[in-house]
Amino acid sequence: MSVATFGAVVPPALLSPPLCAVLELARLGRWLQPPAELEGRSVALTLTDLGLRHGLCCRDGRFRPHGVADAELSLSASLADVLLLLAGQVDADTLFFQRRLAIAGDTELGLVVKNWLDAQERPAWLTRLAARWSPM
Amino acid sequence: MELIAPAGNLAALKAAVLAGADAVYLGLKNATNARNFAGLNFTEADIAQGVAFARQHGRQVLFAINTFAQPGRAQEWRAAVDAACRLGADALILADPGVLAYARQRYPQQRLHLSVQGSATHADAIELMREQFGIQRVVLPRVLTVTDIARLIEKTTVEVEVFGFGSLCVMAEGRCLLSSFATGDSPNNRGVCSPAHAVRWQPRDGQMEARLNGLLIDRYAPDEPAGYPTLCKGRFMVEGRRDHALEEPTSLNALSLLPRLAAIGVRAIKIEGRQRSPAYVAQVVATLRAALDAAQAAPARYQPQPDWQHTLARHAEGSQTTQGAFDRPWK
Ligand code: SF4
Repeated sequence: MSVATFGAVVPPALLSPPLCAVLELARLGRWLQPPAELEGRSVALTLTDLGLRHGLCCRDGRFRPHGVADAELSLSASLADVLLLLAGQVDADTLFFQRRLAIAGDTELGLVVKNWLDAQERPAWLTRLAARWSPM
Repeated sequence: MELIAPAGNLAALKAAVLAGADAVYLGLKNATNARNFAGLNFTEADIAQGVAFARQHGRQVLFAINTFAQPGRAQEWRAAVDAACRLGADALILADPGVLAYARQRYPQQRLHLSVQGSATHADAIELMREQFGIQRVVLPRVLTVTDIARLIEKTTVEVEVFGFGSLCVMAEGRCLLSSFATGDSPNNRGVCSPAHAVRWQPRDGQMEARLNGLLIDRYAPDEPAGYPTLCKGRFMVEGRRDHALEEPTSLNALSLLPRLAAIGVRAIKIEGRQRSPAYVAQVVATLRAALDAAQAAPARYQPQPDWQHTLARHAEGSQTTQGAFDRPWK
């Protein structure tokens, strides 16, 4: 089975927990604290190269799995670009101009997510690690 | 020449300082600045930290309060001036004459810059602002050629700052009838021309549609570069042809003009993009820092390096970069 078909076979409900777990770890590690504006909001993230879709929402200041279909915002990018965004190594507008990041649904929520990611200061070890992935 | 960098948050401010900016400009979280975007900009606590960080590194922090006070709400703009002065601004970047007058009377020692939004394009206008409000610097609108700027500098004692890199827009700096038509907002009144709540991107028939308040403004094929969702950069049917009716998304890039700008007496080069991420700020500032240093060390031998151009092109909006109005041989 190729990676691309993996997502088609495994139901999204099973895939959301790992993504949430990553974000929860980041939150507990204090480098991705969700802001008040994200409370109660939901996002679907599609990893275009893997064909995987995750839904998540922010409740009580934590990241939790959420249905993909009724998410308010949909973001799509490759896994590599998502990791670069999470690590603060790439500019979201640059990705958007180059069509490597697609956004649909509630654009204002998209801007809140983007500006929240931009404003987080990443720990030095993450920046060092991320610098080894190709930066663009 | 000083290098002036944008910061939409504390992380970007730090990135700018570490990458070699001489000063950083920022805005409060409200309509008193021209990048009033959801989730962007500084809380007062962030500013206090940012100012302390910049000071430690011997750099300056400039506060953009560069929109126009709306009828009945002038108090918000005065409060922004008070906050900036209290937080230790090295200069205020202002556009509205009423706000300029308030700042000058209330804070006689405060350094004031006239914002690009103030649209002062000739020496008489600039000198009037100096006489009335004691402005020490003017940020020139992106409509003048290098020759125009050289002539203007000879006729004023006010320091001149120009844009060196960033997205361009065709409005008469600040006053945009196009955006007012589509959204009711424009940079000079709301600090944003195409607010995110009015923007929708929708996939349709394999293409991506961009809508502004329901108006279809563009449709992108899968690999076509996209721009900001503004009416001016949209593509429309005109005389049977679909094209950019007003402006193709374009970025200004004045890299090759740096020695000339220095020679005519320009005091500072500004980078656009408070809405961009710390990654953009770090890379664009570092590039312009290297270029400015090279231009200063040996102006006659100065040549923009291919990797500088490559870095700037990567971050540019639109598939082309231009020297904008700086160089218009036909003029
Ligand atoms: S619609 Fe275009 S010209 Fe008008 S303010 Fe927005 S970007 Fe500028």
